[in-house]
Amino acid sequence: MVSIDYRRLFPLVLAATLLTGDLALGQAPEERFQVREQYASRKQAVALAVAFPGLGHLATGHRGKGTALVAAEILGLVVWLTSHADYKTQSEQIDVEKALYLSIREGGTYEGAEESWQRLNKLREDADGSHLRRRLFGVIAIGVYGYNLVDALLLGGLEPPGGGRVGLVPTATPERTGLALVTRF
Amino acid sequence: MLKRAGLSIALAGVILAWGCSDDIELPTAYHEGLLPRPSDVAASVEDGAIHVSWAIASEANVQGFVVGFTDSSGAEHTRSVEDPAARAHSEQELDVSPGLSYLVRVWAFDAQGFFGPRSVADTLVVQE
Repeated sequence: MVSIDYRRLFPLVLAATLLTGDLALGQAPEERFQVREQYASRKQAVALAVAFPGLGHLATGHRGKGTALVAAEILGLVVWLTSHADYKTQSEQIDVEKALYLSIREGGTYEGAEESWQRLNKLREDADGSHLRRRLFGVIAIGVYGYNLVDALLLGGLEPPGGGRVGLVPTATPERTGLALVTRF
Repeated sequence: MLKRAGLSIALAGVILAWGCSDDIELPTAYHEGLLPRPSDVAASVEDGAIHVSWAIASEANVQGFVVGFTDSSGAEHTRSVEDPAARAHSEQELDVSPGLSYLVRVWAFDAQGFFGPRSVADTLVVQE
């Protein structure tokens, strides 16, 4: 009968755990930062950013900004395109109503013309609203795209995450502990 | 290369967005003020005929008048008076039996056959 003394086993387990951790810390930097190695290269990220706003940021690990840019661009494009389609439809309806209104001039009645005129004005108001929406959201879509490009190409938005170009990093040496000003190039 | 492509796409987008012009133009509202609305419509029964009189502010564009009689069933009987100077009409074909009633309206028309705004209705009740 083999009995296990757990009080003796505990130090062994602890030592094994610490040893494993030491081994992990002793790995080459390439292995320790494997996650970072999965990010797209700068050239790929720029290509993605040019293709669609936010994709470059997502590919370089900037999930929050990337998601926000993709969502804003999709929203802008969807509302832009649907507003454009609405405007085209209303424009066609206005053409039909306009023809009806003008046809009433010969043989029609004032009341019929007035009703047609009211419909025309209502359609015109709707078309103006659609036009305003498509311009507004078109500008938003382009603005998001422009910001995405500026951020990606000029402001270093595609740099790997983990702080800005300049930052404070805690340091600890056998002699002293403190903060170091770190600049990445 | 990529910078140029991106900037070109952005520029094309700006042109596209601002190129969406609002080119809808409504026609002139010809019906407003084309023909005046007759006023002071008055109807009465005399000697078995319905006499209708009216006034109008201007004879501009007026080619004639239409006098409309709507009976109690809702049917409308219209008579055309092709004289812009006319201010009265005598109707002898309609039934003027006691107890019958009509709503009488007058409106003008122009040379192109457009009918102007209808007057306020005058109610005529045929007395015994």
